[in-house]
Amino acid sequence: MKKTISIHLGKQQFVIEEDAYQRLNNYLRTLESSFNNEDGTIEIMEDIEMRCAELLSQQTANGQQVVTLKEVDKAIESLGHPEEINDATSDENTTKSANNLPPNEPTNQPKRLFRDVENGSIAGVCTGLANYLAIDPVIVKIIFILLLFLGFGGLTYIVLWIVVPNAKTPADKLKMKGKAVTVDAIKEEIENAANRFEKSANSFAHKVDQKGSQLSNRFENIGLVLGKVFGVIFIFFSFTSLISFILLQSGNIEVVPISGDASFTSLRSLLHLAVPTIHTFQLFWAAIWLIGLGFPLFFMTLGIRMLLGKAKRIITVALLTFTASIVIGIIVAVFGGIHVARDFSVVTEIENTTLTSAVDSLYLEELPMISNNKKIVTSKGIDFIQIENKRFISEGVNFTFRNSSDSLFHVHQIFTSHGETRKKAIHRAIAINHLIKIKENKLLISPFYSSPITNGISGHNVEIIIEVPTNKKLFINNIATETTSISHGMIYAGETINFWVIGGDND
Amino acid sequence: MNIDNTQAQMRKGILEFCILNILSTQEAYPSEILEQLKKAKLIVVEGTLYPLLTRLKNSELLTYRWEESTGGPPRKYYSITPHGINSLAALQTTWNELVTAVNSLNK
Repeated sequence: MKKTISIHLGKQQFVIEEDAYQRLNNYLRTLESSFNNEDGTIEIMEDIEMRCAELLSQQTANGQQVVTLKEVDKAIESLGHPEEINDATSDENTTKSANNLPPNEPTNQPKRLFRDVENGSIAGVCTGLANYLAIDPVIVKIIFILLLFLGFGGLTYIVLWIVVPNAKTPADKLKMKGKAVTVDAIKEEIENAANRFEKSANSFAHKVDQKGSQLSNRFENIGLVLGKVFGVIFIFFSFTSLISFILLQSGNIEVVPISGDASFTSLRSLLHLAVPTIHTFQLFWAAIWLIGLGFPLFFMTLGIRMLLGKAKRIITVALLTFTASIVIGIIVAVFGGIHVARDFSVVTEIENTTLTSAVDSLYLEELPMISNNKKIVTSKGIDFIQIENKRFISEGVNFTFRNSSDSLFHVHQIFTSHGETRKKAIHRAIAINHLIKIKENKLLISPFYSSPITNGISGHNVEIIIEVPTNKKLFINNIATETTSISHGMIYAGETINFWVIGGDND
Repeated sequence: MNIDNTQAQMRKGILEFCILNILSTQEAYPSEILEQLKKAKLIVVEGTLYPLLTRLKNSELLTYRWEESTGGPPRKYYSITPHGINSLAALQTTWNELVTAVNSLNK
């Protein structure tokens, strides 16, 4: 049993066995290349194909259905081998006959750089280079991928692809490998090619009929290969982003460095942290999946589409699906944004504590954090978010000092929070923890405050208002401070207290 | 000196002349031309003819037209052009001179 191919040769239809087709195709291609691109090669080939068709149809006239190797060999015998034809017709080949060269000349022939399209992955640049340098193509490919990361691999490839010719004919292929072009060597090469074609014979089946459109093919090929190059780039990057996305989701890559006793490393837990409201969370979660999968999959499909070079129905459907996924994802994210904005719509400030003191001088100091009986002098870190006991730990407390209406120091501790409703905002503000103390003549303010993670990052703030009576002094950093209309400052752990006075109008 | 090669060169030289000669009396498609050339033992392999036909056509010595054939694909009928007839006449003169010259030397 043999596989057959249907071909169109010299305006006639033939059913031909696969091996016979390969021999015929190789013969015609070798013949074509032997004309050295002289004017009218296309026409000559057209005539020869017509004659070939005539010879084949004469032989198959007696009821035989399928063209076999026998008929092809007979036709080739009748038409003559390239060297026989060229002996009789060519102007240049007067002395140089392929027959006169000893067969299988050792490989001391100068090599030429060709692209090896048949064995290559894209346009055969790497494989061609490897042939030229006589090294393993894999090495050249790895170097090109490394160059790709450095940013100029793609360009180098495209330039080489345009500049370096394709090894089309068996003679070119021999030159590419540095072998002498002899009849025997060509025969060997053709046999090698036949083995390669076995797998892809069907896709090449129409080539016999395409000699006339070679020029347009050349330009189509440029687009095709460019498409393939970008296709590979698309697939590579979309695959990378897909992997990253999945690693982010699983928590194998930390999204944001979080320290403390809780682990919120995956995208999901981080989102829970940022958006504790369940509905908002669901919206964002859906958006993240829709966009996070939609984008890489879209570009991967696009890459596959470009690599295949033809539109398949399933690919079109996939592209539309992923586009829809991205669009829906964006819409959902916008809704999520609206939800978040609504969560910030009401601001509430509550006065948590009020302290009073009758001392003459009040010394503003940082309330040190004591851990294991040691004072923490500084806790500067790079953490973006710190979580302990399911509470966000924030640093930096505002304070304001102004004139008191009576003869006492008044200290107000104000908590600010946001929410969808006043009730919710108040609820969140109450949940803030912050420590202030008056101890003898010292006002101790902690630079840290905390809020439950369930309340999210809803614009929490702590402000301390200190009312200084006339004729009494507030000491900041042990320096007596003139109290004017309004003055501000910030307290951070272990740092000199930073403050500024607005309006220099001394009473 | 390679005798085969010399013979090939000699044949090649007169082949174009013979093609023009055949076509000077009638229109023909390549297979008919081949038949005559083969009969005259001027051609060994058929493939030789086609590059010559195209070359002659490109030099405007020949022209062709397509004709439908019964029970087969359309055929390409070649015919000689006025320019071709002139060239043929010149070649004929040369040929006659060559024959005379060679014969006189062979005596």
